Amino acid sequence: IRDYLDLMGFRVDCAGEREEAEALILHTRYDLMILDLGLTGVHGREGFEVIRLIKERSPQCPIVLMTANVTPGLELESRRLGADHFLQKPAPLSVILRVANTLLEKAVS
Amino acid sequence: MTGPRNLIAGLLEDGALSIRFQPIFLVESGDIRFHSFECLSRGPKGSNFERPDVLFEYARRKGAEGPVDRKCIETALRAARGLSPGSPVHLNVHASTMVRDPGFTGFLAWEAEAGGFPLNQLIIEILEHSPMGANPAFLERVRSLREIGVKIALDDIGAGDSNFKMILDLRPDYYKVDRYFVSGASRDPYRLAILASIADLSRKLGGVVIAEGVEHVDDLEACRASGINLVQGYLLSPPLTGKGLLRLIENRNEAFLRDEISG
Repeated sequence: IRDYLDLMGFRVDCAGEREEAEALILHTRYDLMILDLGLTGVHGREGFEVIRLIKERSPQCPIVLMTANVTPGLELESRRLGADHFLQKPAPLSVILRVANTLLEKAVS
Repeated sequence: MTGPRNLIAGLLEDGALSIRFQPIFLVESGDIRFHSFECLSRGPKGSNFERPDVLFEYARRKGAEGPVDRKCIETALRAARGLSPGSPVHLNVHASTMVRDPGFTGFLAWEAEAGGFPLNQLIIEILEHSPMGANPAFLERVRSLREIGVKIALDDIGAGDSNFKMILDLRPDYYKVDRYFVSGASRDPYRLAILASIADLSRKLGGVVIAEGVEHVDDLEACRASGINLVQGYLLSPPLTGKGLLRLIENRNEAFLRDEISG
């Protein structure tokens, strides 16, 4: 995903685990966040904690959640916390790009 | 994907961290001279940890500030060997490390000796993330560092938890003023007044002030007007590699710096 978005002109920071993501979020203003719920250290409620931190630091930042199994409960709670879009894994790169562009355009307007 | 434990282990491997040297300058009546340097750690090139704020935030969240601080100091003292004999060397350490690492003083003494640094040439800058001032273990560590001759600096004075209480508890030898107060001080009477008051306070308490983040000539003038003679920041030099620092010291390019200040 990173290489593809790089190629498409995005500047991408990539974190392999929850604490790394949190450290980046605390010290960077992001325009868009793609959160994989399979990320090391991000299971169940911990994913919600990361979303909460993103919304606290950058309230305007759109959040895309990627997960292998979206349950209605998960979707409801994530949306309540401010997640903007769900992507079922595996998602084609072209779809990720389209979602990213749509959310960024919406954020600007 | 790398597991969490591996990331910290990776940071602690030899060669993972690198050091930049931030020169500190003595400014006296238009004359600017190299005075000392602060060692700054960077994580592996190309990783998120190349940014020190991300590196230390991550270490804090993993509860690994202690080992990472030790590795930074070990790496710094190795990298600084022979760079500028006789110049004070500033090293950073988190207050939490001081609390949790009872062997810190011994570790520092050992590393200093291995690198040929006299202990009274070392300045430990204490970074504060949580109020540690009243913690007996913390105060004991500070006392033991002083006992072997190491000087103590309080970092980011005025910001976060580096406040009057910390000054009382720590009794620092050096007061490092956060860039928040320095930047724009020439145009802001409030900032100027705070700079002057920190300088006055440290003078009364027998300490020395260093202004961080001096990026404009006007701010340098504001520091001097406030009685602050030691400064660091991009106006005079960005953080340098070891080679860069050697070049700066050897070239003694004060002429260039004087032009900057008068222009």
